[in-house]
Amino acid sequence: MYHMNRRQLLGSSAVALFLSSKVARATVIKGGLPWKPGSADPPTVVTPDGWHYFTPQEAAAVEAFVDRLIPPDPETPGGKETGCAVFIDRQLAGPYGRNENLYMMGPFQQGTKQQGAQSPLTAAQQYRKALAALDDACRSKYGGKGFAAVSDDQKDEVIKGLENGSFKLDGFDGQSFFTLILTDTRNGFLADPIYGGNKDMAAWKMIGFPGARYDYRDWIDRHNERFTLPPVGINSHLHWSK
Amino acid sequence: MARRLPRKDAVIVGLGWTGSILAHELTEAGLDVVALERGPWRDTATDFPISYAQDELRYRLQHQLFLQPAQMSVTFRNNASQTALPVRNWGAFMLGNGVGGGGLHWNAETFRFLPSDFTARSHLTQRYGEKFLPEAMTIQDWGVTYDDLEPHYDDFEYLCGTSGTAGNVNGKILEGGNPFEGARSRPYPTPAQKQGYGHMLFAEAAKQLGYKPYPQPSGNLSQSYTNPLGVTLGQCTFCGFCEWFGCANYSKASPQTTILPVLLRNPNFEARTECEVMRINLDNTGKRATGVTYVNSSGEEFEQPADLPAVCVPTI
Repeated sequence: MYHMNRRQLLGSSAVALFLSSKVARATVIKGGLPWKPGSADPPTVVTPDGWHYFTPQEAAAVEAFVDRLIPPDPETPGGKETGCAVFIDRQLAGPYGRNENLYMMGPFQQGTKQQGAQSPLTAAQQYRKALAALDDACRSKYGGKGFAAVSDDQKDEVIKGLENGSFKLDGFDGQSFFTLILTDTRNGFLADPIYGGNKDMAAWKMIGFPGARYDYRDWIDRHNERFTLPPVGINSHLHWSK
Repeated sequence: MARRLPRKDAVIVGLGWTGSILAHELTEAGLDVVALERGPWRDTATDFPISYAQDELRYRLQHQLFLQPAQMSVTFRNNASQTALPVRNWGAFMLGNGVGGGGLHWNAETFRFLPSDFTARSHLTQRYGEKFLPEAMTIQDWGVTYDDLEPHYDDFEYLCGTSGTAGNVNGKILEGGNPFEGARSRPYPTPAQKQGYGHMLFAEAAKQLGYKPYPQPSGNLSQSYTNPLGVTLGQCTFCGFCEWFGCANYSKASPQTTILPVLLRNPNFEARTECEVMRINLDNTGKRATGVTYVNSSGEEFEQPADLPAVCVPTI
């Protein structure tokens, strides 16, 4: 049992107390707000060091796919150059890819749309399966060429077909895959650049979003005026060198 | 077999808004109080500091401040003819998790109910007749009135430093506020927040049509404020990372920014995090609660005896 003296001694620390009867492997907090230096949890910055999850073929297919979802134009780089495929790769290699936060216990059965996704496959497994099926389906339709190798018009044909259900994938629902990769591409495009996409804040520049800025008190009264300051990221600023 | 712990006067289940307020009241009254929270401890500097609070992927899309379905979920169906299936990823609703609960990442919209809301059945039948409410509708009068609660609304707004423009103080209607609100005993503790361009356009148009626009009462404070407990909040900077997010400015009213710094210093109070209460225990008459049983994150079971279990958790 802990005593008053010990608590006072500990002051305002958060402690995981082990009471004599092995009671607590919880965190017991008393005597003040917990404070321990270095206990924050900043995001891990993605670094450009190859593919962590995708095979070279998968990476090629995904880079091609994101570049059709967000094609480059004279003003804004496309999905590939802004790093959307890198974003997806790093996400799939991490907790998101493993569905760590989702309820993944069985049994599994399909339900109504309102009941949401009921797949036993993690996001990472879904990509692996769907991309293999995608390349197979393309090779069947386009004379032996995988998705990355067909023309842009043909790629667009495939993507539209996935979206409307007319382009079938063997062993995987094409419409689900379309929704999944579209969502992940969008997230990669618009998320903070630390996650590997939105390179140089290109997406934020495109839509005029100031990014991680946090103080608009000087602007709240400036009605109907364009906000002129450039975007800032958690780890990115015009004047910071990498 | 649950290990029995030393008795406390009160055990509070869930350390969000209601749990924090109750814990404060009870410890101030001299009771020995333990709060059990299934989620982790959360605070500004450790969980959403200004260096990385602005992360939409993490907080808005991946819901990191919420209960994760992997820890606990529910089943769902729209009607009895369907098979209920697990909610594997939150959609329409999601539950807070951790110290602060939903109060940590709410939008801090701090309306009061109208007086007629408390007497809904009487009000509607008086206004629209006995036949107005369908048989199957379960609307009732609450059993407490707006007047019963007014002092407590006032307490909460002054705890939070709520920013707003009063419309009715002791019966006197004031310009710029909601003229239809229940009478309040005094104005808001801080002035209404400044409004953006879209808001002002809407207000002007509404006024011209004869409506009575008023600024939304806000727990995102228009100016720095020290509450009656001595805890100080900062000024809202209109950052936009509000709902779903913790506030890095200490300018959003939450248990963390209004009560916990004082509560944690009270020697009568102890919080145990990552402890999930499984049931409330009753004595052999079945009419009196004797405490709760909970598990920690290792799955070990404990019985916490207490005269006063207080359930301060969402109902889902």
